[in-house]
Amino acid sequence: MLLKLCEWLQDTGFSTGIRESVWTFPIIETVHLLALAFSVGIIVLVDLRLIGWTLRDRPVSEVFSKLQPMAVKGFGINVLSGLLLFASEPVKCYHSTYFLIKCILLVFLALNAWGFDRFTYPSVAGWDKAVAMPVGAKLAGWVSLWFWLGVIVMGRAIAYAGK
Amino acid sequence: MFPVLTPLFRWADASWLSLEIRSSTWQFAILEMVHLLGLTVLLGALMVLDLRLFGFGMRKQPVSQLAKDLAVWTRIGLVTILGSGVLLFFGEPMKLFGSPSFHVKMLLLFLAIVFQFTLFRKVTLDDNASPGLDRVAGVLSLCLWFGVGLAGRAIGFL
Repeated sequence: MLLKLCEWLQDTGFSTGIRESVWTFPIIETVHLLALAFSVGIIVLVDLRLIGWTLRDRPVSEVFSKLQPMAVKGFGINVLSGLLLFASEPVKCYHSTYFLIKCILLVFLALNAWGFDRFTYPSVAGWDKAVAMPVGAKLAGWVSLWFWLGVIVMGRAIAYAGK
Repeated sequence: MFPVLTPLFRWADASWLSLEIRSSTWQFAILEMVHLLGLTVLLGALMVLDLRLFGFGMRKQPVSQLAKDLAVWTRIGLVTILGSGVLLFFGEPMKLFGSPSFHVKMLLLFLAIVFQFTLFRKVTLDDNASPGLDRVAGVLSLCLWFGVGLAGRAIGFL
């Protein structure tokens, strides 16, 4: 069923167009890569603040309110370019274990962000300027750091699928 | 590139390290992954500082303080990306020897590093620098480093 859908998508003119043009695929891939600086690059700094490794003299809420909107915009570029890359070779992605792992990691990252937002961040006033971060914040930061690392590694590995 | 460097590429190509890296697909792939992680940390930290020079983001903090706070992560990113970059070079020296993208990348990298540790450093550590100068430094930093990234990605395509 899912494979059929991928095959159908792969045969559309849109997908073939990206795949077979000389420049479209490389350009989208380059955008996808360089947008890492704005998405994961900034998320990493927020995570490092959560585990207490950087910007320690700034309140957590300040780091969040200033950097989160940028990271979200950067991530938007990654999602959009990522969807276009997927659309250009859905059957390859369907058969790629790395792509599957990357998607699963992204789901866990979404859950991690949601959990942090729902359960830990509401009490930020109590530890905004604390020297030691609460366990919930540290956990969310570490999970995010390691899972994003996994996403980048798996993303690169997709290109090696079948080699 | 400079003809004088030809022996360097030949030497690298025949070296034990080069043979070792080329002996399996995954060694090169893993180096590429590390290179990407370095890019994420380096460019992420630089972006936050560059955007601050434009007046976006961490505005409550003086530029000099932010620059000092982020310096350690810029350096970790730089060391990671340069270390993996040198090893990637050993993985395919002769291909890079003939790659215009690689030549452009090395030129931009040289300019970016020189700029980073001279003018950019001076401007970011001086909180009395004019907003105009701040912006020029931010634009140059963005253009140089993204130029390095762009030329780097182009090695695989051109």
